[in-house]
Amino acid sequence: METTSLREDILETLYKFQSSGRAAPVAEDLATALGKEPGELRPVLALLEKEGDLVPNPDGTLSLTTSGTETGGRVMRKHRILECFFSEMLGMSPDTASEEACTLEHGVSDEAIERLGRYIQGKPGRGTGLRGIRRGKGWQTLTLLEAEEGDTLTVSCVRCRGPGVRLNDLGLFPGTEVKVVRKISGNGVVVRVKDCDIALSPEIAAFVLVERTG
Amino acid sequence: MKVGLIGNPNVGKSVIFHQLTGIGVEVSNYPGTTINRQYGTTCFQKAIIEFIDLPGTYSLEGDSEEEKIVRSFVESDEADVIVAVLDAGRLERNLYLTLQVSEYRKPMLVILNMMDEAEKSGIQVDTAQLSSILGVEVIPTVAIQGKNTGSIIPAILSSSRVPVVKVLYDHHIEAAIKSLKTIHNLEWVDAIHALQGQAEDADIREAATALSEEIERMHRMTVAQIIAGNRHHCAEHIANEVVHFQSPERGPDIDRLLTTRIPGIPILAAILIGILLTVFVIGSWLEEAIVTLINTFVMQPFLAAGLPPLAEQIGVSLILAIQAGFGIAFPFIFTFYLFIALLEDSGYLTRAAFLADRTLHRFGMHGQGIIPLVLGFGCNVPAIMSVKLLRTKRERLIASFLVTLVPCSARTVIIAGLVAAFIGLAAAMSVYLLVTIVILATGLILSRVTPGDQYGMILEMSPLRRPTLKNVLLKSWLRIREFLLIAMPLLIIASIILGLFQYFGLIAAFEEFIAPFSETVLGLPSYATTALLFGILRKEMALETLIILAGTADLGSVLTMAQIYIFAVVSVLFVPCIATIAVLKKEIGTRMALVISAYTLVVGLLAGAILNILLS
Repeated sequence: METTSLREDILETLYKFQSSGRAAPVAEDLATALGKEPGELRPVLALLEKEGDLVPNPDGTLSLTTSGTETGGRVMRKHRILECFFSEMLGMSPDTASEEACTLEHGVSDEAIERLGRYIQGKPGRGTGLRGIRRGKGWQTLTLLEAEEGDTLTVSCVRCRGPGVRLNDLGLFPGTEVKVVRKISGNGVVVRVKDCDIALSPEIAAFVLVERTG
Repeated sequence: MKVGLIGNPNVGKSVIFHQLTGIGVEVSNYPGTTINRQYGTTCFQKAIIEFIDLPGTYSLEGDSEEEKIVRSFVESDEADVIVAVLDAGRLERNLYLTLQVSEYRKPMLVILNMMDEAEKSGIQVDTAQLSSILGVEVIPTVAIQGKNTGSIIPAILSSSRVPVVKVLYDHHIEAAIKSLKTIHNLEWVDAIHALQGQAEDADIREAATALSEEIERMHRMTVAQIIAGNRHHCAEHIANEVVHFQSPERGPDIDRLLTTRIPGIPILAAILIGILLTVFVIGSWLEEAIVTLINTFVMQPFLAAGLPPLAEQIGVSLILAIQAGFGIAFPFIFTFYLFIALLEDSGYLTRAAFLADRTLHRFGMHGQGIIPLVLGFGCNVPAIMSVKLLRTKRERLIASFLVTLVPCSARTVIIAGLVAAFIGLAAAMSVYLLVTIVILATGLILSRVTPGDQYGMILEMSPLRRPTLKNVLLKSWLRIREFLLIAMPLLIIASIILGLFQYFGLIAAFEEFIAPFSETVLGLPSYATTALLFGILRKEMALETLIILAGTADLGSVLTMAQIYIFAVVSVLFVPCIATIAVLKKEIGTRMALVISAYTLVVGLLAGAILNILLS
């Protein structure tokens, strides 16, 4: 467990270096940033190298591989979301929030962070920035337009105001189970809601966020 | 005593209305057939009952046309009893509206219609239990077969009651309603409307907005969503109590054929083209028969009577108008309406709308726009009236514009009687092709320049049903009657004016004036341009006037093929007929009616001029 946290911390720090455009760090820089002794890091760095998450450069600096970048980015995002939740929603001081986030970021599941992210970002009925962050395994948020024919899904959010009212009346509101009866690519969908088949234009289907469970 | 019929679209309100009053209203297997209120009175055991058939809606709280009509009806104290019509097979979704209506605490009655279809899909509804939960009488019916509809009126008279069912709202909503009620002295329903932003009074609206913002912050959902959710849960709960599922009889999945790209779209194209061709063939044949009949038995005896010239001219014009009206109405429009009725009643039209959605998007509309466009092939007038189905002004505008370009039956007469008869079938089809290109190009331009938002399609798919002959005939008859009522007076007036013009020699004067333009630009003799102009009164009159002015029915002997073709194209494209202009003015305003007329005038003349250069 201890090693896992440390591994994720290292990847996250390297990711921060990389994404902020600073020069790639050597092991000593990493140790300083993490508040550890370089000696403590060595075995973990070797392990990460062996698993293909990072590569040492000839000049002694360290770079992330693709898989390392991905892991680092994910941990970083968890950190940000938790930090934001603690400071903005629970009113904790930014320092404490960051500290708490540092501990929790290693234990929290993808689904929990996804939902928490949505909870923080989602304004009622609207929601922003959801595209491109569905990474969870076995749990996904997608729009009705992206769903496949035959899928059974649960509505999680209806993002449009005007037509949204009509959709609410038809039973398409958060929590309802819907089935995609027909889908023609680029041509909208027919969904079964409460035993009724409803045809939706693509631009309306794109407003309905659904989640696939299991 | 006044009774209002309320229900979701396509649950059979109009059938029940028809059964109760004997008044013919249009019944469709297509949501949104009843756009305005329909009134009908019946007498039962010395009691006079007035029924009001309201447009189908999913809710009382939206801002669409039909929701406003129904809401204002329920809010006013107009109705003594409200009859909620529900589709037994879709009870849960239908109960949503019933729960809303019951919040007004007015005497109600519930009709559980389409029991046969529900049974077929394995659904059993415990009506006694539903009745005790709602607190009102529940009558199961199969309205289309007239089953048990006889007990509706006695029940309205003897056992309509104020419902007792109550939706449990979220406690924040309940608290907000309570505070609005006590502070502003509002009724319960007004409070819940105010909370959703529907309040007349500015003070109340402000107070309600503050409350609803607070609730939205707490729930991270809009108040409307929470309220809708609570109602749906209540409906779901009731449905779970009273609906018992059995294994349904499963038929073959025809939808698999109809709503997939292949073979769905080829089927759609085949159906539409098949209908047009059939109407074309049957129509031309019937028209000839009717025209000959009137000629032999009315026109010739009339001419033989030897009346004074002015009276004779007016009489001839009158007979010509009637001849033209019936010669088009029954052969072309009625045949066409029969097919449309079949498409509607089978439930196919909703599938067509779904399939056409993507294509129509390019032209700034969505799937439902297919209805006016298809109707336009019959007659532009009802087609333009049907643009009300579309939700935004932008879509209504584009649809009206394009519908006026669709070759209606009268224009089909010109194409069949002129191009097909004197040049050939291929040339006739090329006119259709040309018109289609003009429509597509106009649509593409309009979708870019028309201001306003696009409202996508949210359309409930009607279940596939076997159409009944009786309803198909009844509906086609009602529509053709409507056509005759609107178009016939115009036909007669226009025809008589034309006759008088001719009598007083105004036509000759006009011809002299137009001759240079006509001959150089369109390559047509001046009398042909006069004929074109009279086509504005009635489209197919362009052809009749041409025959009269040319002095022979064998137009091939006086006009070249090119002239005939140009004449047909110009008359098909340019300026819609006077009835269409009148209905355009009513639906989308004088200014747009003028713009459309001017546009078609320019397009028609331009096409004529270009063809003249190309063909001569």
